[in-house]
Amino acid sequence: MIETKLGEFEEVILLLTGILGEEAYAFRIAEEFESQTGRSVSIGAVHSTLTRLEEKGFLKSEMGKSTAERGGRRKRIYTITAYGKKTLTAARDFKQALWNQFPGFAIRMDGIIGFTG
Amino acid sequence: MKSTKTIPPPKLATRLLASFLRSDLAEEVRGDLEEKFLLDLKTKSVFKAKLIYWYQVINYVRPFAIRKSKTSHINQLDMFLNNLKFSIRVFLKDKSFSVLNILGLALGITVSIFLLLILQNDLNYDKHYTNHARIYRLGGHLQATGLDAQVARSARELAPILKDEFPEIEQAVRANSWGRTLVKYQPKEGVEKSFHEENIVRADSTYFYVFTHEFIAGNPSTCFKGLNNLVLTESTAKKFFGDASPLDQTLLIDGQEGKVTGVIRDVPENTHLKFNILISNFRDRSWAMDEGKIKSEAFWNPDVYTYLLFPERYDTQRFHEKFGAIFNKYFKSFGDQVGGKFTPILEPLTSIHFYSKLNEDEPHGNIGYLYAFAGVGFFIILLACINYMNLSTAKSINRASEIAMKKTLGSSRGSLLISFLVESVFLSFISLVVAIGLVYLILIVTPFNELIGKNLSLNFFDNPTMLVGSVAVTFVIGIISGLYPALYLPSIPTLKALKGAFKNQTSSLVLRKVLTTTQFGISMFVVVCTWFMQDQIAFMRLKDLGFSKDNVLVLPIQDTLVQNQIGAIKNEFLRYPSISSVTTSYDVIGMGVGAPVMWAEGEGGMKQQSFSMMNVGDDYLKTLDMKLLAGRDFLPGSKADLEDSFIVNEAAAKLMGWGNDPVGKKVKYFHAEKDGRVIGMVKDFNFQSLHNRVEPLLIVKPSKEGGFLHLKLKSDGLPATLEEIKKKWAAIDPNHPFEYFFLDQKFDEQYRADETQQKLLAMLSWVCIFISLLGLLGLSAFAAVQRTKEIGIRKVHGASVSQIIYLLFREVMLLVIIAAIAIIPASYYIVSKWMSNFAYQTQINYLLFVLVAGLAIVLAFITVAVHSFNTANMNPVNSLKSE
Repeated sequence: MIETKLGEFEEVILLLTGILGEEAYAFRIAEEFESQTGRSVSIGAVHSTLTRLEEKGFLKSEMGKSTAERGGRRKRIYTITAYGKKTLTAARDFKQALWNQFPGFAIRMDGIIGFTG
Repeated sequence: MKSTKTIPPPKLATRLLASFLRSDLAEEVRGDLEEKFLLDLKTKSVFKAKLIYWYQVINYVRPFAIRKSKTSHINQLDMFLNNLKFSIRVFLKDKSFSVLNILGLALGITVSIFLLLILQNDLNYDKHYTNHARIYRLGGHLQATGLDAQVARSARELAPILKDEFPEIEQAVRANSWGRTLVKYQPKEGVEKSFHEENIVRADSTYFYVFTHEFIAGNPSTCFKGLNNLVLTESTAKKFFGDASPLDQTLLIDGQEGKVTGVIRDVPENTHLKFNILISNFRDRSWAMDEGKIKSEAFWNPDVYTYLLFPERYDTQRFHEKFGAIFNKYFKSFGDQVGGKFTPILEPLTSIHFYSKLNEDEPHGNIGYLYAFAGVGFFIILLACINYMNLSTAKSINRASEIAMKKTLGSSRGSLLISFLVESVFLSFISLVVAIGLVYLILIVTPFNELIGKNLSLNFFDNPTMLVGSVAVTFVIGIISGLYPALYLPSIPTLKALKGAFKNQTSSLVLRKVLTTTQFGISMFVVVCTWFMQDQIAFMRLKDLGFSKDNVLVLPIQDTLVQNQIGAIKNEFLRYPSISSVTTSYDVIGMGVGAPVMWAEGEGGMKQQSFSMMNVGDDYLKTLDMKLLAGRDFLPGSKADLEDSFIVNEAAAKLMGWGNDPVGKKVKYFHAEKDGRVIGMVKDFNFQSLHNRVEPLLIVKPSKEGGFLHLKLKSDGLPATLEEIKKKWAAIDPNHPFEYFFLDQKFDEQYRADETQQKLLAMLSWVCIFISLLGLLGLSAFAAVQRTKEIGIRKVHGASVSQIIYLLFREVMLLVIIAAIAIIPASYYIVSKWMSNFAYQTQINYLLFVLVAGLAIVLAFITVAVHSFNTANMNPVNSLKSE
């Protein structure tokens, strides 16, 4: 049995960080989360999770360049580490393996959540 | 498009964010939030955007984002233990100082524990009955021409009617206390036992449906069904039957047989209706019935306590509204004859003890007395706290270098503050231990419980409220006493302190003076009040009552056989040379008199009027040395004076407008056919306690003498006389134990509550004085040490020892005088308030203020002198070279 190191919310945040690439900072991730899932979330909650993921070694972060639109304040940009990517894949594979054993649903699997994007 | 540039995010929210957010996160977070805010402004209203901003800020209150407080890495427990260790060292270092502090605090806590115990006892009056919130006692306000009385009782005929006519009344029970009665147990074999029981209550069979008691034997729902069934308390059952089963045994109560059907736990002391024996027997009043119907007049003669059990949250207003119908049906026909008005009074059971002001009731509590005790208790706690503050700030010089060192090593003000609080709380918990010991000592060794007429006990296991209460009080006392030193001590200048140049600041000196003045003021205030009370009580004991209460021996006539030959018995007693006069009376002065409504001659004919009334035998006025102002006494042995001859007092003559010559005026009983006559007038005498004015009184001679035999004894050889009388009485009445009392003692018993109050306050005032002196002792010892050098120099310059003591004492004296002046108005107010309880008041003696102040100065002087004498006496060489 594979150890699940990621919670559902953590997994989504990790994926969104990957999706957003250069634009992955707390506010943008929160916005993206809301638009992708339709669930609302506070920036604080996202930030807290990002910090936790960074502590676990799935993410690393750097202060970006200052931009005028937010009073000249810099953003903290998060990027997925190799370990983070590996964990994500493992999580997907694990679920995949489970889905494969799930009778009747395997066909629709791809359509469920756009995890593989 | 609206301009978004001009609207900044809510300032307050931003400030809030800054207050808790880790500084390394500040930039990115504020940036994110602002970006979000600007985005929201474009799509939503300004208000909503601001709201969202607030929401985001509040959502940043998460462990990861919150700035760590500076002290968080210090191990709190270690710090606390360190503080505790320090407290113990400080405690041991200056033992006399610690003992002074602990004594003061322990006295304060002892008083608080007693206060809590008494409050707990009194506030729970009658609350042990499960239904206490639903039980009401029915009394009434009776008004008629010449009568206005509020009584705690109602006519015994009323309760069954109310139960029938008010469906909401779930149960009704009538109860009546019987008074002192002889109870006998005559077993088939073995010794007869007989005791005089003070507390016997007759009640309806419904008693146990209303009042809940814990049964040891018998069945609560059936035991009271029959007539003359007895329910005894545990201790009474033990008294009569020992360890044998009391059930189905027979007791003779005043000659009447009763069967024991139940035993209950002893009735707690904090209930207004106390009893040892409860008997199911409620006879009808034979006079109240007329051809099978209850006479309306009966309802105007309240005689028993009536308790009604209402449903949950019953609005008693509804009872009053509906009572009109009852009045019309039962009260009205007689009421119309006498111009009568009747208002029912419903008293909640639990408020009876402290708040009932009705007549014809069991003895009451006095809420004022409770307030007084609580007030003084509070003062004492305050004194103890002040003591601590005073002593600790005075000691600050000794500890200045310690504090400075701690500060130098990086102790923050906050942690110093906490360490001082730990110290004071530590001391106050040691004091708690001492206090608990003191409480036990007082409760077990001294007759304190007897004095206050309660049954207090301290048992933390049975009484967790007390445990929590005592610990809480101790903690609060610790904090209050420690707070000022804790705030003041860390503020002393570090550098000066380290150089050893620190002297007490003037601000703390002023404060200490204020505190000492307060202490002395409070102590003197309490002493002055106690003293005044003592004055009033002494005044009441000594006041001329208009009759002679001394050396009057009173014997209750307990047997009808004795009563039938009372004339002969009186003559036999008169033959004794040690007995100067003999009489009988149904009413004993000081034990209460009846007050029937009569007819008396007024200006326009006979008028209805209530009078107090005493039923006496021959020679009553002579035996009690009352002064006849007009007319004559009853003729001894004459049948002519029976029942329709009246002797009035001055108050009665004045009330009826008869002036100095009431002889020949007409008076008659309410139902009498024939007019009676006034035959004489006595000088007013106090037949009630001095709380009351002398009320209008009629004295009559009933056809049959009885009640109480009064013997006026000659003052010499009293014990021998008493012994003789006892022997004689045993021959006259072999069936009853010898019972007697002296009239003066009985009369003075009426002041027992006042005396108790005064005694308690006297004790507390000693505690006050003691604590104040403790404080002064500490302070003066300290002042003397601090001024050692100054004293040395003064002595070198030729000052004498007495001059130096005076120098040290001068300040204290000034404080005492200021305190004395300050308390005059307060104590005057309280004393006059207390005095208004009495119809006869002693003069307030203003000299007392001077006396108490003088006394305080002398005590203060002794305290200061004892301590400064050593210093003042010291060879200046020693004190000056002490550098």
